[in-house]
Amino acid sequence: MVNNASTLICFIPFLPLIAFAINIFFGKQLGEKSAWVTLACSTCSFVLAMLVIRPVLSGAVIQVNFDWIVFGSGALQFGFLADPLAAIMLFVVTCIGSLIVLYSIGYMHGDPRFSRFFAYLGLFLFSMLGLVLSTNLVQIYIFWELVGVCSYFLIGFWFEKDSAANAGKKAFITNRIGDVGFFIGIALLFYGAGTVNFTDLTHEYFHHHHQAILGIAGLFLFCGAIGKSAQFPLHVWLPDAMEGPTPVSALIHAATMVAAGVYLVARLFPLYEAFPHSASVVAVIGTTTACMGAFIALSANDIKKVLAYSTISQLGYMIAAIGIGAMSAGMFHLMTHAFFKALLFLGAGSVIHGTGTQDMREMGGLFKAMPKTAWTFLMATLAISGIPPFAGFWSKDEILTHAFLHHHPVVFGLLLAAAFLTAFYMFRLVFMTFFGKTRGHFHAHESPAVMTVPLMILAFFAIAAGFPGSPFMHHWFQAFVLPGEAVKANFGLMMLSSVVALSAIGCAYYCYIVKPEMPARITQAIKPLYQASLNKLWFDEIYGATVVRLFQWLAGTLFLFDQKIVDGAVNGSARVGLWISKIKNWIDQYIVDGAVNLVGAITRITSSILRLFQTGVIHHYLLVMFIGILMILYGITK
Amino acid sequence: MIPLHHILFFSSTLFCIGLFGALSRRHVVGILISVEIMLNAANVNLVAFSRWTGLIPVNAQVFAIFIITLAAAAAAVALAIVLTIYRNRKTIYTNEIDLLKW
Amino acid sequence: MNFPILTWLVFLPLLGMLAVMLTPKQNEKLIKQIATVVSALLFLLSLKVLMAFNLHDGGIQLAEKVMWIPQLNVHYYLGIDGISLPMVVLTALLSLLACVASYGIKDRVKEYFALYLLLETGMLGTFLALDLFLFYVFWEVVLVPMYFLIGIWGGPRKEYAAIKFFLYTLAGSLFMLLGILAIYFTSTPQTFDMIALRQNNFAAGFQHIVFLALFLGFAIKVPIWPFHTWLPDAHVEAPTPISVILAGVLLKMGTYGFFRISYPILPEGAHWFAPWMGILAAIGIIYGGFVALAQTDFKKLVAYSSVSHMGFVLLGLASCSAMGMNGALLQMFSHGVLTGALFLLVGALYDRAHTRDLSAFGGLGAVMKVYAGILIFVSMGSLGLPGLSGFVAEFMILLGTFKIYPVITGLSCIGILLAACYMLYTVQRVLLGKVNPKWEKLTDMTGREIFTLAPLMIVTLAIGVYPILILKFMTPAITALVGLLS
Repeated sequence: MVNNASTLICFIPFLPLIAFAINIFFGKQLGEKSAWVTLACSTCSFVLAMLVIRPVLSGAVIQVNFDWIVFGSGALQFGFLADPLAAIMLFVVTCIGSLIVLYSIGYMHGDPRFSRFFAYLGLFLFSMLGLVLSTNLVQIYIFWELVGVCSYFLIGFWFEKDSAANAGKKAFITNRIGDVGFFIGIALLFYGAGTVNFTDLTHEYFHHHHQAILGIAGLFLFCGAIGKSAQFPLHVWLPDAMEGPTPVSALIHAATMVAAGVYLVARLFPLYEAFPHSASVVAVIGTTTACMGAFIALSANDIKKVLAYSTISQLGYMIAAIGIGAMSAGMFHLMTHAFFKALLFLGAGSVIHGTGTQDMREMGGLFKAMPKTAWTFLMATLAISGIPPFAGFWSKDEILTHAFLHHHPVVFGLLLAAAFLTAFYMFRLVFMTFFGKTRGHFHAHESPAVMTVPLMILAFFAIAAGFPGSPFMHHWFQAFVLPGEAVKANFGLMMLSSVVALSAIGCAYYCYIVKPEMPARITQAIKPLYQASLNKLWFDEIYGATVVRLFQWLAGTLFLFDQKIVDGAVNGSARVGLWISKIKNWIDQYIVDGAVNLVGAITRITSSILRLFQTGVIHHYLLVMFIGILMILYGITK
Repeated sequence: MIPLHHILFFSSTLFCIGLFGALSRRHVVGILISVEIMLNAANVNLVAFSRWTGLIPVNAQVFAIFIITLAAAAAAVALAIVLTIYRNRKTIYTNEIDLLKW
Repeated sequence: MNFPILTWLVFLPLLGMLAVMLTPKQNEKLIKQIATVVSALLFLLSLKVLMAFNLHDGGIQLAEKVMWIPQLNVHYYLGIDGISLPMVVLTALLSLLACVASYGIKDRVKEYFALYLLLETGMLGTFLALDLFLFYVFWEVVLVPMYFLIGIWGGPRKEYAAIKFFLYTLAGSLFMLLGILAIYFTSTPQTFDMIALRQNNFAAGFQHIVFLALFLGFAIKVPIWPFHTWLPDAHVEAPTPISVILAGVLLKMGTYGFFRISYPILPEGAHWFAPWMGILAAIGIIYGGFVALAQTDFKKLVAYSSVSHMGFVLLGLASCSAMGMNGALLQMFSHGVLTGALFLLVGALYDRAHTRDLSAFGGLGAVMKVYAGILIFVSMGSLGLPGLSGFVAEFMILLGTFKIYPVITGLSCIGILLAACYMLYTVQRVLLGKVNPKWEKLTDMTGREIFTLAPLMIVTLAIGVYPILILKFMTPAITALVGLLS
C-alpha cells in the first residue's frame, strides 16, 4: 500500500501540469472544452490524493527523492513527502481546487481568454501541490515562487485594466520582498544546520543543535511567510489582488496559496519551538495582523475587499496560533478557514455574477433573488464568526484556549477582540448584501447549477470540517497533526467566545437592520478611527511615499550617476586623451617639425642670396666662365 | 716664312673677337658664329704648332679636322635647338630666354 | 586523433567567410545560405563534441597541440573541458540563431556575413585556445569584426558606440597582454601553455599584480561595475543579431578568462582579490538593477540587466567554492540564452514599431499573443523564476557565496527583487493595459522569429527543470578548479 502510494504521489502534481500544457497549446481549438480538461485532471489529482492520504492516516510517511542539483561534494534532492501536515494541505488543495475549477466553468463563461484561465489554474494547482508535497526548503521555495507567478498571471488576468496589471505587479514584488528574506533564511539554515530537509529538522534535532544562528534563520524564513500569507507589514498586496477573477480570489487568495505561509511556519514548527524569541516575533506579527485586518474590514464597502481583509485577519490568527505554540490548532484553523473562506468568495462571486457590481452599498435584499447563494453564504458567515457548531468555531476556539491556558493574556485578549470584529463585519456584509432593500438598479438572478453545486458542497464542509478537531471526536485532528499533544476542551472559554460572537452579530443586526442610520452616526462620533479604517491605515500611501519613492529616486539618481559620473569618467578620459594628443600635436608641429623646418629655412635664405647669381642670361655665365678660366690660367702660370 | 708669334698673335686676336662676340651678341645665331670663330682660332693654333715644332705634324692636323667636323655637328644641333626655342618662345634673343634661371 | 574536430570548429567559419567573399555581391540569397549552413554545421559539430565529451574527466579533452612559433615556445593548442564546453555549445547555438535573425539585414549583405563568420571564428577560438598567446590572438580577432558590425550596421550613434567599444576593450586587453607577458617571462620554463603554467607556483606579490592586470582586461569585457558603460551604448546601437552575440557570447569571454586563466594560474591572487570582486559584484548587481529600473529604452534596459546578471557570475567566482563557481558557470550559460532571447524579442518589436521607447507601448498582450507569451516566459526566466535556468544559477551562486560573504550575498539578494521590479514593469509597459490604437495593426511573430526563439526557450526550461542535464558536464571541471584554488 505504501509502495503503491509512493508511485501515485508523483502523479498528483503532474496531472494539473498536463492540463496546463494541453490548454496552453491547444486552448484555441478546445474553446470552452478546455475547462473540462483541467477539471478532469484536478479531480484525478483529488482521487489520487485520497489514495495517498489513506496510508498517512494510519501513520505511514510516504517519501520519494531524486537528485536535482549536484555540486562539488553534495547534491540537492527533490522529492515528494506526504506526512500528516502535507496530507491536510493535499486534501484542502485538491478538494477546493476541483470545486473551484467546476465553479469557474460557470463564472468564466464567455470570457475571450477562457482556455488561458484554465491553463493558469492547472499551472497553479501543479505549483501548489508541488509546494505542499515538498521534502525540503529549497523545493518549497521553488514552488513558492511558482505559485507567486501564477498568482501574478491570474490577478492580472484582465490585463487591459490598468488596476489589474498594477495589482499583479504589486503582488509579485511584495512577495519577492518576503522571498529575499526567505532565501537568506534558507541559506542560514543550510550552513547553520547543514540540511534543509524537513525530515531532518525535527524537534530532537533542534534540541541538540541550539545555535543562535538557527533562531535568526527562523526569523528570515518567517519573512517568506509574511509576504505570502499577507501578514503585517507586507499585507498590502492581498486587497489589490481582488482585481483578479473571483474564483482566483477564492482559490489562491483565500484558501490555498496565502495559507502556504502558515504551512511553512507549521513545517518549521520544531525550529520555532526551540527558539522562543523567534516564536514570539511570529506571535506578535500574527496577532497584529489579525487585529489590523479585522479593523480595516469594518469600513470596506467592496464585498471582495471585506473578504480580503478578513482573510488577512484570519491568516494572522493562524500565524499567531503557531507563534504561541498551538501548531495543530493553527493548521486546524487553516483547514476550516480554507473551506468557509472559499465558500464566502465563491458566494461573493455568485453575487457579483448575478448583480454585476461589487459595491455593497448598491446591493441589499438579495436573499429572495439568490436563495441558494444566500443560504450557503450564511453558513460560511456563521462559520467564520465562530458560532457553534460551525467549523470556524472549533478551530478558533482551539486557538483561544491555547492562548489562554498557556498564559498569553495579551494575545488572547487581542484575538478575542478580533473575533468580535470578525463577527461584526461579516454580518455587516451579510445584512448589507442579502437583507433590507435593494439599493442598486439591476435585476439579480440566481447563478447556474455549475456554480451553486460547489457552493453547496463547500457549505457542507463549512459545517462539518470542524468536527474532526472537536471534543466530539476527541480532538482527533490535533492528535493526527502533532501526535502526543494533549488537548483539553475548556467549556468556559467556549461559552465566552460564543457569547462574544453572538453579541457582535447582535450589534451588527442593530446597526444595519434595526437602525440603519446608526453607522453614519457612529462614524461621525469616531471620525479619526473611521478614517484610519477607511484608508486602510494609510499603508499604501506610506509605502508609496517611502519605499517606492526611495526606489524611484535611487533608480533615477543612479542612472544619472551612471551617465554623468561613470560614463562621464570614460568619456572624460577619452577627452583627456584627445587633449593630450592635441598638445602633442602642437609640440610636434612647432618644436619637432620646427627644427626640421629651421634647417630648411636656413638653406632657403642662403640660397635666396646665392640665386641672385643665377640670372639665366647665358652671357653672364660665359663671362664668369671666362673670368674663371683667366683666374685658373693666372694661378697655373704663377 | 711667317714667324710663329705672328700666327699666334693672329689666332689670339681671332679668339678675342670670337669671345667678344659670344659675350656681347644677344642674337643666338651671332653667338654661334662667334663660337665658330673661337674654334677656328684654336684650329689655327693647332696647325701653326704642328708646323713650327718638331712633333709629328699629322696629329695636330687630325685634331684640327676633327674639331671642324665637331663644330659642324654642334652647329647643326645648336641650330635645331634654336629653331625649337624660336617656335616655343617666338624669340631668339638670349636675354629674353632665361630658362636656366632657377 | 584522426579528425581534428576542434580545429574544424574554429576554422570552419573562416572557410565560410572565404566562400562568402568569393560569392558575387548581388547573390544575397546564396550568401545567407552559406552563412546559415556554416553556422548550422558548426552547431552540429559542437553537438558532436558534446557527445564525445567524457563526463567523468575534469581535465582537458580532445586536445590538439602543434608547435607554432618555436622561438617563443608558442603552441597551437586547442582543447576543451567542462568549463569551455558549455560556452562552445552556447556560442554555436547563438551563432546559428543570430545568423537566422540576420536575414533582415538589407545593405552590404556580403560584408556583413563575411564579418559575422570571422566573428564566429574569433569567439570559438577564444573559448578553445589553451595557449595564452593563441588566446590573445583570438581575443583580439573578435574585436575587429565586432567594431565593423556595430559601426556599419548600427543605429544612429553607431560610430560613437563602435569606437567606444573598441577602444575600451582594447585598453583592457593591453593590461591583459602585459599580464600574459609577465606570466610568460616569470614562468620556468618560459611557456604560454595554460595547463603547464598551473604547475608554476608564482610568488604571492607577483600573483597579486598580475591578477589585477588580467582582472582589468577581463573586467572591461564582462563588464564589471564600474567598467560597464560601453555596454549600454554598444547594445543600443548594434543591430539585433549582433546584440545577441554581444550579450550572449562576448560578455562571457570576460568571465571565462577568470575561469581559464586567472583562477587556475594565479590562485593566490584569486584568493587575495576575491573579497573585492565580491564587493564589486554586489555593487554591480544592485546598481545595474536600479539603473535598469530607470530606463525607458527597451534595449538599454536589457543592457543594464546584463550588468546586474553578470554581477552574479562575478559573485559566484568570488566565492571560490564549488557551488558558487558551478552556479557562476551556469549563470553564464543561462544569461547567454535568456538575454539572447530578450534581444531577439526587442528586435522583433523594433522591426514592427520602429521604436524601443517603452512608454510608447501598452496593451500588446491582446494584439500579439504569441509574442506576449514568449516575452513573459523570457522575462520570468530573467527575473529568476524557478523552473527556468536563471533561478538555478542564481540560487547556486547565492547559496554558494552565502557561507563566505553573508553580508555581501544578503545585499545581492536585493538584485533578485530589483529584477522582478524592472522585468515586471517592462512587461506591464509593453504588454498590459489598454491597447494603444497606433499598434492595433502590429502582426504577431513570424515563423522565422519563433524558430530563433524556441530553442532558447526549450534550453532554459530544460535546465531550469532538471539542471543536472548541464551540471554534469561542468561539475568535474569545477571540482578540479576548486582543487587548484585551495
